[in-house]
Amino acid sequence: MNQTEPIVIRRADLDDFCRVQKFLAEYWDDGNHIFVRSSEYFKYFHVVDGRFNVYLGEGKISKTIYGICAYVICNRLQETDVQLNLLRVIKNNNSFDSLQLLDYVKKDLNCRIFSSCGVRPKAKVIYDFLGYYTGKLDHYYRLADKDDYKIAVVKEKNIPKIKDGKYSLRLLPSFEDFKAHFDTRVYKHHKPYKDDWCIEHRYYKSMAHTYQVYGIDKGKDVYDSIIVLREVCHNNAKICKIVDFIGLDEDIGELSSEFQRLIDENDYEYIDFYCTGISHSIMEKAGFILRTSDDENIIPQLFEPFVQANKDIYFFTNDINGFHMYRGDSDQDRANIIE
Amino acid sequence: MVNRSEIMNKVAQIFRDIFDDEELIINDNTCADDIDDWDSIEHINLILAVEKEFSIKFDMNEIARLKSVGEIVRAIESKLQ
Repeated sequence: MNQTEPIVIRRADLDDFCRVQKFLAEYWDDGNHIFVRSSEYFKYFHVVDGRFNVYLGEGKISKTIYGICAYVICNRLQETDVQLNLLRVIKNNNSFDSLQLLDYVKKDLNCRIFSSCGVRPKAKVIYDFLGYYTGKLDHYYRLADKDDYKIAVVKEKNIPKIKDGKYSLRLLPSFEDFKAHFDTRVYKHHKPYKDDWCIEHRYYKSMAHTYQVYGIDKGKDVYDSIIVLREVCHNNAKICKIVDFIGLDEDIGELSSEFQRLIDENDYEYIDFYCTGISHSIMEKAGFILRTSDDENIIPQLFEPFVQANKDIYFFTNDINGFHMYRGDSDQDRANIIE
Repeated sequence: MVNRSEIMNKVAQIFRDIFDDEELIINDNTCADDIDDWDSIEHINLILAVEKEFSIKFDMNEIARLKSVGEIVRAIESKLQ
């Protein structure tokens, strides 16, 4: 193990970029992390306005990096909302651990919402200890009525009957269309608050994926709600992931026939939605069923590489009251392959 | 009053439970170098189990300073006095 020395925890700067990348290469995913393979993608996630959104703990003498914590922001307000993506502290003799790093990051950022999804089940204890709320995202899905499924494994074809929803979906193909029809500032009180910059960066300027941002059309020119989808192809079949939602929760409940239309028109095997904060009754009304622990169906989450297994996604937040989180948050929809 | 030997026995059982190894033998000098799986997450699990077993509490800085079995046992003794 390393020598004993005082540890300095500080915000990394761009001069540290290669050292942080080297740390990931040594201590994450057997050196195969996408941020090691693609500097450009690492910067897309973690460099904003010239700031490297990473904290590190390093030896005062040796300058050895003992731990890192990387985060993304949801808006550009002074008191922003933060989602952690990477947290790793290696074994050391310096009494430096994940608790200290996290505690420093939270205090230094002075953010309003401090959260993450994709927390390893084993690591939940860290967040519990620090007094944060930890939980599991609900996983809802709606199956297509097919004889044969190539992505999902369907042992029980439970497809709820739906009533016609009141609202329809309107694609917002460009960021200009988005801005013309939706005002993110209306939802500044949301936890977290995602501003225009966040939506453009994550969904209109994504380096790796193609997203479809839809407005929920109630016959008004300006939409109360938007929903973000991503189509995934595998094994000559397609599915659709709902990755984000901003607006009035109850609007989702009026989209049941629209979700079915998307399934029919695009020949999806299913549409699924990982979320917390949306009530079960709304999701039921939208025609979805909750995947429970005794559900025999398999609704895969991982496609890069494809893993035909159910996956639970755990999260933490410093404020659960009114908190919403989806698959598009933190790095849960991050690519593992950049073509 | 719990004596040091009783504390050590209870701590040893906690280590066996956390690291899922009934053969695990520890002494005062045992530290993270000696147990591969003793990382910062398991360290917190160890301390939480110790807190529960002895009905005591450690703060974040104390947790970081407890680097060996001997230090853990001494800290427990100190809190139980």
